[in-house]
Amino acid sequence: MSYFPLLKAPYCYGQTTLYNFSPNNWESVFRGSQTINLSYTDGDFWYSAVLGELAYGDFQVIKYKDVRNLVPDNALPLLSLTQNKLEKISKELPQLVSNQTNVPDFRSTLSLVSQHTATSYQGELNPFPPKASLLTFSPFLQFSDEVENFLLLLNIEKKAGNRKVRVEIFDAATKKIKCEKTAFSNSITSISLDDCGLAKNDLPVVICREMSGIPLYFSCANQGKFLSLEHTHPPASLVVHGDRFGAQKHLKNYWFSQLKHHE
Amino acid sequence: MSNLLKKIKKSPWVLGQRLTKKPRNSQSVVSDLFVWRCNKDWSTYFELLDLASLFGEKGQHQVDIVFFDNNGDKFHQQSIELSGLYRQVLDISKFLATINHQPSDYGTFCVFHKQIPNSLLNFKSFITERGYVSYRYKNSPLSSYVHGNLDAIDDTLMPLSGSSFLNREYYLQYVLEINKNYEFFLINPNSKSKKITFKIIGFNNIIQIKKNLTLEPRQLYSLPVKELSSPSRLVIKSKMIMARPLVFSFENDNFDVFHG
Repeated sequence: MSYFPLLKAPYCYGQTTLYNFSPNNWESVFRGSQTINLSYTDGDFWYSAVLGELAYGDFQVIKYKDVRNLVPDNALPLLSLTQNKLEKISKELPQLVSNQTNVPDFRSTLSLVSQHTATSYQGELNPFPPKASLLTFSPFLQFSDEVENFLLLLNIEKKAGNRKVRVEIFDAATKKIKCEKTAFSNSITSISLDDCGLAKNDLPVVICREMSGIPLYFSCANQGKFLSLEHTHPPASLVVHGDRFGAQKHLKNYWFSQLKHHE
Repeated sequence: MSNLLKKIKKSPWVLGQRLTKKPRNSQSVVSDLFVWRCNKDWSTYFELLDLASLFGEKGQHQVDIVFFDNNGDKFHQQSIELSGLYRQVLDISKFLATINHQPSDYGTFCVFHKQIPNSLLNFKSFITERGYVSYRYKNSPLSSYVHGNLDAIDDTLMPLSGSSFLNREYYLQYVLEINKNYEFFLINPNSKSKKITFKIIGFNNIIQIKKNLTLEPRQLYSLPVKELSSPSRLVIKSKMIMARPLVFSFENDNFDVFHG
């Protein structure tokens, strides 16, 4: 049950392209028209509304301006493509009856569009457990007077609301904290990385002890004339086969114990 | 349909057909096959992370970097000292210029970490490099990043991807627009050659491009797509488990790169 968010970043608006066709010919999917839904939280409840229908085999581009009047400012608009009707108001994120595949995952195109150009990745968003944490090594910063660098932390959880959490950015070599920022659950939080005092050969370690999420790294040059967007892998992707999530847990325990919590 | 029926229906597609095979040697290390492209318009960079240090191993560590041309033939291998927990960016274009032997404008490379963290022994896992490549086009002030995607090859240079018994179709969930140009890169990460069919099909179901070819192990193919007459999508038919391409999209002198 994947949602497809509309991203947000400086100099850009979000645009998401939904597809009502499978990414392969061998995993079973529903072959019929599906409902396009919009969901968001106001901090207390989840709200959902129908945006339209998408015929089998077709695609639909949805821009932020298409939903701007339907969601509160700063709310994360979540799109979905379903066979079921979603509850209009709920305490928990609505359950989706939707197509799901594994090789590859059923995805949409998540884009950031500036006045000049666009960047995208093929993505989806599933709710994270509330007790999860985040560890990411992020060698994506680009250094130039023309370039700005941001972490876009993307999270949804089942429970409505916007939990405030602390994001800590350390230098891997010295284990010293470089800066501390705030992020929110059920949001896309834009965090500038240019004011953290990170040098060219510093390897930033970004951690959040209270929340997980997808860490997207977004760089732009000349106020949006050139864009770059990519996410880091979860630590489990540093290994293959065997107990990958055991390895991930080990890595998280090691780094969380090394990186001291600052009050 | 009951779960049992669903499983029976799916079995010809999954039984004995793993996406990534286990290396034969339990001490092997694994890498993606990353695409490099270097010429007057393109530069390629790789973010070298010291994975052993990330797992808490002390000491000086190294990687072996192995370069292949577009046909999958190895043309250079070199050890590189890692910088521990400091950021280390490898300028692939400069690197290839120094060895004075670049057989093609594009190809692949893999990165094998020579130290296996002791802590991994408990998990029976293999360390793998699926890291981050960035590309710079013409005079752009910005590089565009893309992450590795497959556990493609082990340090004996044996491709690790499984094979499908039946032909599979991979439908890229992406709209190819009429005012943009594209370039798709597909690697065969399998130890046997694979017949591939690329099709660019309009959403009006008219086939705009069809290309049949055979990819040898580790071979990289580039399909340029220009001047489409209607919004279209890419279909790749093959016996690869997941024929996921690397996509470059162009609009004037700007480009974007992402994995399918």
